[in-house]
Amino acid sequence: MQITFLTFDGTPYTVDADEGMTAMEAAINNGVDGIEGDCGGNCNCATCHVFVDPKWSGQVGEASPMEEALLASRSDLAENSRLACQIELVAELDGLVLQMPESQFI
Amino acid sequence: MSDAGVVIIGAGQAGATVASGLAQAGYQGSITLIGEESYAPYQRPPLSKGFINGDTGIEGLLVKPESYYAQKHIQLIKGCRVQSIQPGSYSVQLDNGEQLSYGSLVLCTGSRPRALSIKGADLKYVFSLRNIDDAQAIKDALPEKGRLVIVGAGYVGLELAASCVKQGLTVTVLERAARVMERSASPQVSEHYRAMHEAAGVNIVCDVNVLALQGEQQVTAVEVEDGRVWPADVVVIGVGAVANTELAQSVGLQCDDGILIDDQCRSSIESIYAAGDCTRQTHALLQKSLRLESVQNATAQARMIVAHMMNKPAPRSEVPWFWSDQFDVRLQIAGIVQPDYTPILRGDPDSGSFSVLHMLDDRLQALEGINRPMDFTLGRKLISEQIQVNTDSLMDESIPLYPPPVMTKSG
Repeated sequence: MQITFLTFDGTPYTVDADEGMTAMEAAINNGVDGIEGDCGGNCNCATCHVFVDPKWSGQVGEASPMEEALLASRSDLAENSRLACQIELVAELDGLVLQMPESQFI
Repeated sequence: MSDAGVVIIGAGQAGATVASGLAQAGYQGSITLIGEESYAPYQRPPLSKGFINGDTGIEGLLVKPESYYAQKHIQLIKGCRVQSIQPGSYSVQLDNGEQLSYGSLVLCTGSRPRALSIKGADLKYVFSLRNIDDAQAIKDALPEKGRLVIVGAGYVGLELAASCVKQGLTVTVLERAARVMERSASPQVSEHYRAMHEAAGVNIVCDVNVLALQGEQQVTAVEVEDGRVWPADVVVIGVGAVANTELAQSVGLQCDDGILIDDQCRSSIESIYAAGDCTRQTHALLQKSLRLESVQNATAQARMIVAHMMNKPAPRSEVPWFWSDQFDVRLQIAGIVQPDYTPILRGDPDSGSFSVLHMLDDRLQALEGINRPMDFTLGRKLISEQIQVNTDSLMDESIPLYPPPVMTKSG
């Protein structure tokens, strides 16, 4: 399956991913800048913040309370915010588009 | 900046973040990342948890896939030690005979487990836990049913205890202090964790001084000062860590239990920066000299260095934070818990979800959250902004910690 990560200025990076991995792993494994994942995908650090493309909101689903709490620490929080480490890539998410916030770029 | 590029000594999470940050920021010079271990940079926190359990393999620990470094033109040199630094000629000498020039040097030399100088510490099946090889050796040594004795009830010791008791081992934790996690947690939280471990079958013994490890070739028991003896098949020593400052000291960098760095992570010698466990810095928000051993500190300092080298705005200073996962319980600590703060309980510990708020003059200084993620997030804001708050409102769980209710004068 494929996932597209958009940088904050809209440049797309489309990467191959395997079902069962997380969107964060898909980004890290493919060297996509803008997803840090400092805590290793443990839902601890909020450095893999993404904005889910509105077309995909329904399929991606809602954040857990733990994730929601971490997202609340982000000053760039939006309605479509998620942590990429908490998005498990199931078959229906083939083609998913996620945008990365500017603050995750140095 | 000099054409000679950036040389990073130490390929842990701090070093890896400096390297990837520079590559990402479009640094044009060469980036060399030198690590002592034979692995690409990896995360240490899972070693006492998922790695010991077998849930996470080496691949799953890596900060970036191994191919990342070449892809980003980062020269990753593994299994190599830096023998010496020559600040006068801006170069470092490697133990493989190679000499490297640098324009900027970054020391990310980390920390190592504190050794216990007791009889028997060198026996077979006595370990400490810092790196993959340690964790793998412990894993290989653990019998299916057997006795594990852990010396030290800090994070590493307790996380390991939680992982191993779940696997069916008989686990005993011996602690010198009067309570578990004494250095970093409040008495309320210590008590909660002691009870939690005991309920899971871990034998926690505090107020004991380990005298010697017994055994001929391999360890068979741990002996404490009052004469008690605990039989053991495997012993793990987890009594804190020591900053690796030897290399820094050898060139005269100012050190004081950590390489001293300024607010931009510069050491006392020009063109030499330092980040991570090996450093001591006056924290910008807390105005305290701290040597922190945490992922957050390592990556924050690394990003500060990248920003400074690339003439980018410095990242905002964050309240230090830590986490520990034991059993299915998450402990999140924001700020530094100190005994002179006044603790306030928010929530009922018996419910398994509560926070301890640490106050000084009506201002929140630190927070320990147990399965309490929203308190942790909002507490970080309160600590960082140092807003004066009404302590009664903090105890009221129906009121979020942030934004705090406006203070009103009564009477």
